[in-house]
Amino acid sequence: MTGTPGSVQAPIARRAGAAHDGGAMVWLLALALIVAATLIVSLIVIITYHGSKTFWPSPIQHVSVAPGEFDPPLLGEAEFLGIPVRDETYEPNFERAESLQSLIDAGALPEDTLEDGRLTRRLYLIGNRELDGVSFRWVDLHTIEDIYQPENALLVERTDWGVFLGKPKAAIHDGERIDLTGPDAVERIESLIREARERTREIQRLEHEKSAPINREIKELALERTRIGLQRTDSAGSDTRSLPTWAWAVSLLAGLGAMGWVALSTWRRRLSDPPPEPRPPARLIAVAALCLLVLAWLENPWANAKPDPATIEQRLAEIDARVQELRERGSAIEDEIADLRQADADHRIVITELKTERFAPEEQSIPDVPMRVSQIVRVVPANTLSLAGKIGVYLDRWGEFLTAEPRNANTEGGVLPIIIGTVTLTMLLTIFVVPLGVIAAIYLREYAKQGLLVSFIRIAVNNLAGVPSIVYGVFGLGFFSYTIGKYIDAGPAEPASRPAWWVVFSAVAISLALAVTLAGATRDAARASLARRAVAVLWLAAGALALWLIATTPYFSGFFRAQAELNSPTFGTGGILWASITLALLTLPVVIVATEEAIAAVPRSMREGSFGTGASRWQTVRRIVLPGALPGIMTGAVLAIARGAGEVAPLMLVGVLFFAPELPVDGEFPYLHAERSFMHLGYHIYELGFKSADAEASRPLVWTTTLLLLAIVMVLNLAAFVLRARIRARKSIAI
Amino acid sequence: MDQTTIQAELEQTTLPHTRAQDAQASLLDRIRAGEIPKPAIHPDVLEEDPVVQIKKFNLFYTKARALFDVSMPVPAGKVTAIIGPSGCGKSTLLRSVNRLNDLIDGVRIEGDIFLANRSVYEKRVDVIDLRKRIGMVFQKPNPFPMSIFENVVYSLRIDGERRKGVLKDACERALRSAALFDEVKDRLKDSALGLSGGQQQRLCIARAIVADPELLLLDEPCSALDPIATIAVEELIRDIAERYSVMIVTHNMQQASRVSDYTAFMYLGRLLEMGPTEHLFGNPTLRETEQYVTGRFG
Ligand SMILES: Nc1ncnc2c1ncn2[C@@H]1O[C@H](COP(=O)(O)OP(=O)(O)O)[C@@H](O)[C@H]1O
Ligand SMILES: [Mg+2]
Repeated sequence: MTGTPGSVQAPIARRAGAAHDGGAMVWLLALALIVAATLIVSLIVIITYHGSKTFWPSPIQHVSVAPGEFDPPLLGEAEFLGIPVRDETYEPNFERAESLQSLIDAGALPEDTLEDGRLTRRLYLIGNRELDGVSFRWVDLHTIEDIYQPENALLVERTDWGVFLGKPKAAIHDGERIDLTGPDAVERIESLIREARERTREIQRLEHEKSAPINREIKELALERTRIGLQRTDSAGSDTRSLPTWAWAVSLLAGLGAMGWVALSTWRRRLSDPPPEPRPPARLIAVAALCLLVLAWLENPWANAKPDPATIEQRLAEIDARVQELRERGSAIEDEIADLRQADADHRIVITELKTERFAPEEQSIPDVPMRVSQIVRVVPANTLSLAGKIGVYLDRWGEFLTAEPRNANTEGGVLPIIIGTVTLTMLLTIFVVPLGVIAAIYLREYAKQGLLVSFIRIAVNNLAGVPSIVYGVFGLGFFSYTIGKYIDAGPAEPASRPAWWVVFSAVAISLALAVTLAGATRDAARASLARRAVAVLWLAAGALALWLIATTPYFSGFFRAQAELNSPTFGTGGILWASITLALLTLPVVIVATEEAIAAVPRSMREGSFGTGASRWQTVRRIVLPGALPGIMTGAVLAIARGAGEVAPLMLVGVLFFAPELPVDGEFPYLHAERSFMHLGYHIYELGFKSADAEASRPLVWTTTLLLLAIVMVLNLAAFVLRARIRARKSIAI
Repeated sequence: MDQTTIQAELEQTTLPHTRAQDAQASLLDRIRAGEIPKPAIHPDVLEEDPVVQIKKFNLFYTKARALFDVSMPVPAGKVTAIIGPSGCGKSTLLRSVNRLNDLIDGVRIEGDIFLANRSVYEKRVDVIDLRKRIGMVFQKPNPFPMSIFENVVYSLRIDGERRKGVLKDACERALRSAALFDEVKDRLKDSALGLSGGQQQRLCIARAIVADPELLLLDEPCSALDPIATIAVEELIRDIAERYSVMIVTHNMQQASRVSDYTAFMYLGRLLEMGPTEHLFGNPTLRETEQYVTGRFG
């Protein structure tokens, strides 16, 4: 009692003192905070600035370049259309610097051409890659004679070959030329584009609705053929025979009879009061009966029945006939599509360079055929656009970016499939990691006896958080894809012989029965600790042997063996399932640690109150501990998800692709295709920025994709923040 | 330990006042040296019907022994107070009755406790069921972070009761018994954490009696409350005592004398004396008890 006021006062006095002479420390802390905040804010500002200006339509300049001091002076045309990208200075080589200096001295060039011996040059996007081979061009500023913005200059975004800068000339329809040089040219081109889009859509609809199902069925029939082939070789090669019918019937009857007897006697004992102790032999008999039933189920007389050659031949003939029929139908549809394409090819458009008559061709290899209207995605008359028009183009481009598929080798167009891949991966990761982590944490904190083993596990979990993520990638590939995936695809690589397998099976059954019996006996035995140890050893042994049983079972030969045989493994390679499990493993420590802390923060008095009313441990966990820990658990989950959503390195090993032909989710049963590869924003950024053939062209999109990834992660965080605040307000928990 | 020698020594120590002063004065010292004296239990106590029988009960935490051969009856339908200096094992004894100590790692017990003549520590006892038959209120009010209504009906909910009507009736009854109904009847859906400390403690009492327990355990229920709230809770305990058997731990002697019918005095894990409250506070058998209740040690 008497000590209380003093002990409260003392820390206050000490704290006041610390603040007084800790001034320097406070400033240091403030400085560190400011530095950190500046870094974060500038990161966000830079990404937002670059990411959001990508789609803003910039004016198109007509640039005339003087021959300058060179003779012959220029690479490329003396006059061209271009969109300025950025300026930079560089150091010209010695001779050039000399000659420039003499020109400056002679008064032919302005004084500021060379600053500190450095020249300024400007990067122009000139597009028209199929004509010139490059789509960017550096120009020394002092060589530019004239710049103006021609009114009829047009930026044409196309499905291939990047942009084209030029002016509209004419549309060609059925060989007839329609002039497009008038003032309403842009509107007319836009209506042509709309029509072309209808035609494209029709072609796509045919491909998707008619052609694709036929191809799919043909593929499935091919698989069935392979499967039948495999079955033949299997039954020809294997010499094991299943149980004869009489042995099978006996073991089935024995198994069922034993189980019935055990059930009956248990039921009888239940009725008598007081109930006598359960007798161990009952358990042993039950286990033996179970073994017999499993044997009877696996070794049924028709298990390895030789397939009848006649029926096989018949089925093969059926398959061939069906494939033939499908092929015919497919080619009919192909013809239909070809007709549509033909019709589409009748609509062409001539867009020429400004001063020459060179026009945008359909293909680089056929420069004398003007492109089809359907190759145009969008035309932007950048120099005559009003502000509203510019905003319209800006929003339209964002719309395309967010809702369309990529085009031009993934360097342009939209990122919808990539967003879908990222979101699916993140959701799967959440589904795996949150329950697993929370259950593990609950077990560690609420159920496990706090001892050496639990401390060890806790340290191990904490250390897992520090393992480099690529290590998880290697593990995911080696274990999930190549071990478990292969097993799912084609069953055990080296199945055990059946007798050996059954011997081990019985061993597992016996050790399980012994373990259960011993565990029942330990309650009153004085040798409790010895028995407990024996039980633990038995469980471990049974577990290890059971793993061996699964790994070498001769009764399972894979769900997708035919595909594996055709060298296109289903689960035995990277895929979104393995990727999300790998990421779940990677982020598991975060969830476990956060959940453990949140659980530990729930006051002991709450638990005691609950136990005091007669709640079981699980009821207490469910009704008191978990609701109290929910905000903390959510924080951990979001941290984990945010980390997982931005992780790229491990994905590169377990199934991410720059271009995945199929989405992991689509409208086809089973809707979520866990075995498929996928695309991911993080990997997309990497590929665009560092692997792309034309880095300069894809740079703006790198920024925008980065902005998108950042936005997604931030929205995730924000959502969780709001949710957490809500829960906290509703429960008004004062922890 | 040799049981008979201890027994002999006990005989000696429990001799009435007529013994020489010096022999008496050394009792506390001898307890500190490890002796377990035989408790002075008043004959009136033994005449009552016991709801709980504590028999030769010992409890060991991992490092230390907390209860030493405690044996006492707890009369049914009465309020029994347990007093003693801080750390003498009052809470431990109380929590042994509903086996809340089981939750602490490394706790070991010897002896037994009987609730309504059935062993509490027997192997086949369902602890969950046992705790359902005993209500408990703790030192610090510990309402759950949920609504007042949900707090009161918690033990019914975990029993799987879902019928709205039943829950409502039970809630109202318990709150009325806890003299809290009129204060909270308009905000049953509000969080219980918004109540004052006294209200929270009465809510905890309502929660403890909602399932009509056979016994109510109160562990210093007023120690975290202000004087006015304390009076309210004390009155409540007196009211409740008409329907329930109550064991209350307190280190406040006035409180014990106000609310209880019988009082037990503990010291260093031993029960020293037990008797009717007016006897224990007015004319205790042991000199040590008298010294304690008059505030001369402890
Ligand atoms: N969880 C525990 N672990 C170890 N020792 C404990 C624990 N709880 C109480 N004790 C010890 O047991 C003794 C009795 O404690 P307690 O029953 O709380 O006393 P009281 O309620 O009379 O103040 C004290 O010496 C205390 O230090
Ligand atoms: Mg206490």
